[in-house]
Amino acid sequence: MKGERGKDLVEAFLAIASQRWGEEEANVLRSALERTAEAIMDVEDFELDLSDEPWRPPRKA
Amino acid sequence: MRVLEAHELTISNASNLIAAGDLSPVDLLETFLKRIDWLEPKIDAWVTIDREGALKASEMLEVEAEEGTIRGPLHGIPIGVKDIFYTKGLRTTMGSPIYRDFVPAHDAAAVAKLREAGAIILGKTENTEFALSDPAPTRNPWNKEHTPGGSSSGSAAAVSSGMCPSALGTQTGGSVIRPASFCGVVGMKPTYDLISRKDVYPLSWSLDHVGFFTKTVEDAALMLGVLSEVGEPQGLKPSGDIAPPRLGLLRGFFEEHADEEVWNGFVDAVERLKDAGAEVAEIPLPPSFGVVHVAHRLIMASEAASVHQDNFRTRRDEYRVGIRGLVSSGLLVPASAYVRAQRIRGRYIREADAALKSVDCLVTPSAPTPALLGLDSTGDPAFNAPWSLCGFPTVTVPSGLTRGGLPLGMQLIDGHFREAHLLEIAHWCEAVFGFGKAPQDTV
Repeated sequence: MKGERGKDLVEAFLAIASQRWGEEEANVLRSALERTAEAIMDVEDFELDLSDEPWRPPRKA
Repeated sequence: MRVLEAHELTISNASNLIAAGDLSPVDLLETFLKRIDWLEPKIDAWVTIDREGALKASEMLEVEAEEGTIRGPLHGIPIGVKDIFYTKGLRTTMGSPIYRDFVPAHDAAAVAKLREAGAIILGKTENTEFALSDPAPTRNPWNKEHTPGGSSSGSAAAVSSGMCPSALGTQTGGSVIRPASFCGVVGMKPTYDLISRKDVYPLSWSLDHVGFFTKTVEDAALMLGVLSEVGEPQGLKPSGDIAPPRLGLLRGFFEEHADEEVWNGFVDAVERLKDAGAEVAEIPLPPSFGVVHVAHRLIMASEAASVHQDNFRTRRDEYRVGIRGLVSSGLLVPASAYVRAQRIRGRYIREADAALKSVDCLVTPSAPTPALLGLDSTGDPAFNAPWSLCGFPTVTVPSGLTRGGLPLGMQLIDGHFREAHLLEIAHWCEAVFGFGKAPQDTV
């Protein structure tokens, strides 16, 4: 996990998960929560231009 | 020369024989039902086998054929359907106890197209829960101690073991190409939405693709001609007389993540293609490739969370841990992160398109490993997810066996709507590989 920011995000996810589904379940889900938190960090760190618009379905020319 | 048995015929051959009055749809169906009786207890590929419905349909199609009416290229051909496609009057479980008794009132659009072309819906094939990762009970026909892959586990295993000549599947990450490769059959995932997703239970709307499994590339072209929303069936039939293609070899991530036997098998397969005249150029991975898997993960988790949100409120305890983890984490993804992942996706498609400019198609191994030992995991979709994210058409062609006798496949990738071109190349590669093998215990 990427530094303090990543750790904070995982902790925040675990806290929400514990509140919603209980501590035991939050621990069961820990690896899924960590993977998603890491994905959020990586995506946020990737540089984009304003011309990078969201994906649109392909159309046949 | 050995005479082929009915279950060994390609769809094209069986279809021609039926049209000529030389093969009875009822006899063909009974051949497959007998094989199911023999093999299903060992392989567990089917959730539901619709003997009665299939027999009734075959009798009707037989009468029509005798009267000279051929509905289409699948007239009298039994087909398996992954259990997330709605099938009229036939239970559709999504691999979940929540839907164990769900019987749709209508067919998914793709199933309706199969029926219009004369196909017989033989039954529903096993899949992982809601087409994610919690495994189905299906075993790999090549070695029953190994996974057949997933999520379209039953479809791949049923075609591989000759229980049906083709079956529908879906792919959100790698759920067609990987199981096809693990089971030694041809698998195809066409361009996003080229085959309708209507009334296929979604995992992730913008990533889900309908695909299928066949024994040959020619049959894949035939299936695509039937299923395509912008069909050009004639244009799809591989001619078999193309010049050797120029292939773009992707290394980097693929070489680093493939196990040794897979990579060596892939290099050997590429050498065989070169020996047959193919040009091979190493193509660098697109600059944004490093974040495609995480972008894919965020999109899939966010959309799956939205798909399952309502059921999750009241029936969360009926979800197994894989899908429960994805949905739970997807509920926590900020909207800005989801949109950013979709922006990365747009950038990546432009870059991947550019990578295709100097070659006919890209090639990689179809999966990082052969079929894994055990049924706890269906394997890793990492080699397929980048192309599901692109929405590019991909095909896997069986290319050889491991020392332990498990199939290996080569994944071929082309740009949007270039299916006819991709199938021509896949057909050429198939001829060079000359795989033509079936699992020992099923012959």
